[in-house]
Amino acid sequence: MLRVSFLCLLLGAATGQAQDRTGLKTSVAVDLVGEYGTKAGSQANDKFVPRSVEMMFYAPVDHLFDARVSAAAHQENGQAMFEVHEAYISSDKMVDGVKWRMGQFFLGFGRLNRFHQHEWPFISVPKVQSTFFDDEGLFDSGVEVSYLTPLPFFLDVTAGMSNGYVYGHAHNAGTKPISPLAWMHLKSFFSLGALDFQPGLSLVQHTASDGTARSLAGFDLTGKLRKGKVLRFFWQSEMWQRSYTAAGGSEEISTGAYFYPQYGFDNGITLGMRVDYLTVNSLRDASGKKVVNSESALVPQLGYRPSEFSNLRLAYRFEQKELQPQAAESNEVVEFQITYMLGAHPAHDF
Amino acid sequence: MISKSLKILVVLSGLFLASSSFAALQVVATTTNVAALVKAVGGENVEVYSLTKGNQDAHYMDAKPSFIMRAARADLVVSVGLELEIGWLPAMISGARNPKIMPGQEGSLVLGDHVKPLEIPKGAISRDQGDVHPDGNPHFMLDPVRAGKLALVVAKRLTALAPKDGAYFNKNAQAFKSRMDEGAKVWAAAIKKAGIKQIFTYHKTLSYFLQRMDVNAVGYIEPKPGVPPTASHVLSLIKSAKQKKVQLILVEHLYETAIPKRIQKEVNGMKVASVPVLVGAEPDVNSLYSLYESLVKSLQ
Repeated sequence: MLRVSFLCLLLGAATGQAQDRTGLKTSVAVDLVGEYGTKAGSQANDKFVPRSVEMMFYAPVDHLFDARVSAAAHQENGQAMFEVHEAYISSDKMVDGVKWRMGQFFLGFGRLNRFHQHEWPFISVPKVQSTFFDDEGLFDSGVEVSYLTPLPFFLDVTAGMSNGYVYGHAHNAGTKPISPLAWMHLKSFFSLGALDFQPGLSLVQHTASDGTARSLAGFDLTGKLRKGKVLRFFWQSEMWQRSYTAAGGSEEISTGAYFYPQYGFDNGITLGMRVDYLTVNSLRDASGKKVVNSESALVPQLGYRPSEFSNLRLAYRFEQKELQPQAAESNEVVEFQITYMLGAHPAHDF
Repeated sequence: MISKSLKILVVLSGLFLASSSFAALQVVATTTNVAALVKAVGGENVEVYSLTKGNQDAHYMDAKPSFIMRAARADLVVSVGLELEIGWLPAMISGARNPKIMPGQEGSLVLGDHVKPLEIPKGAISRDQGDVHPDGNPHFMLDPVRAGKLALVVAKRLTALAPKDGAYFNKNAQAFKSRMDEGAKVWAAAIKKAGIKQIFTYHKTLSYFLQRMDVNAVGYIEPKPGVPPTASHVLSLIKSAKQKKVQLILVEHLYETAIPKRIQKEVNGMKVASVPVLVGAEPDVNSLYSLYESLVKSLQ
């Protein structure tokens, strides 16, 4: 009851005014998702639900600091949960070339992890993301600093450290880790004619209280070709390799990736295709022989974007799981999504 | 040996400092029209870079890292304002981490704060009305008289940043303003002589220019700003063109001519002209003066 009242209060405040005279901007983003399995025994939800309702508040605090708060209600195991996603203070005005933030935020590495789920270009979570970082990505309390290097080309270096009491999505306080969550992201930029690309390199490290150790290295690439108001071509991909050692166990090496090219037609219609792949490289059988294994997916997607404030998407997800010598298993799911945003205009990061 | 190296270092440092102190002001403009205005005022004493090109619509851009790089090294960022660049400029400024160009600083000039805008929406506004600009139409750079007045604003800001060049900037600004004021009179007379009083345009890009030239836009291909035309809206435009005897559709070069040409087929004597609305849209449109001349020609 308390949760619902708080939600109503926030919604009322958020939708009442997009920006007040102190510069406070408010917005509400709603992400409605439906998925239906087309085969018997499918693990699809077979229902249409609000995946998340997120309220965002941001404003300058004073002449030096800016701040942001976002809180989301989302579905978890059939129950509506409410949680703070972001609550941080930041500044880009104190030191030339430096931007920093302190508080709770989505950690600034990779590509998907830097964006809220309702801003992603596709509906479902790529397997590599859900396996390595959890569905929504990693968010935690800590400090992050990014520096725009004074080089003749664009090179932005971001590094951060957070509590690391939990890794991934959790509704508990967690326990003190052996080493906190630390990450680094290098971003650059280049153009091929009208086609712009932003490549990035990431490193993530964490050792939990029970000794479970994770070390990840990734490469992300985003490409855009814009013609007038139409995003004619869009590319997003990430490739990750993870070293994972469970408490008292041996090291497991996994590699995963997703690739998403998308073509935009003049009237707001887009056509894209996501390819997912994940494998445990170090998996061996009793004789020490490498076991062929993979999880893959093909996800063609049709989208309609009447404006930058709403999106309608329809996708078909064909998944396959292979673990030799067993026969491969497949799953087919129809997905659809409606996202919309009320309130303040979102700024377009590249 | 060390002494020789030190001497070379001192000489190189001196050269670097000398080149720094005489370097032109680095100005970043959000559109080619703004860049042309700053260039007209700043002349050789400024280096101006336009973030968007003549074929790009400043409504729809991203805070590209290449923009961030430019802004990080700029002494001044000149923008249109009135929410034209709201989707990307704040992210670019923040990404640049350059204290000189932060909002409110000397290195940030928003031209929209210095004009009296047209088409300020009345009453409650919502996104149901399309891409409405709550503070008014941001396409004021297409009015030669307003551009002339803005030249003085630019000169004042450049003078604040480079006081020693103040006289030069002011002289250029006054000359630019006089040329625009004179030009506006000549162009209005030429259009009046041509007899065109009512036209359609695609978007509300030409409002300021048309008001200055005493021509009325009586219909728009977009049913609402930023919203693509529907079949029923096209039919209503055909009916309206016949009733009001509209004989010309000006299509801003950022838009397709397919739908205006469909209307042309249904209305006797209707002409469709694609017109540049940004400097650099066509090879011979390389200044604000040539841009206005090109617009005038399309109405003759």
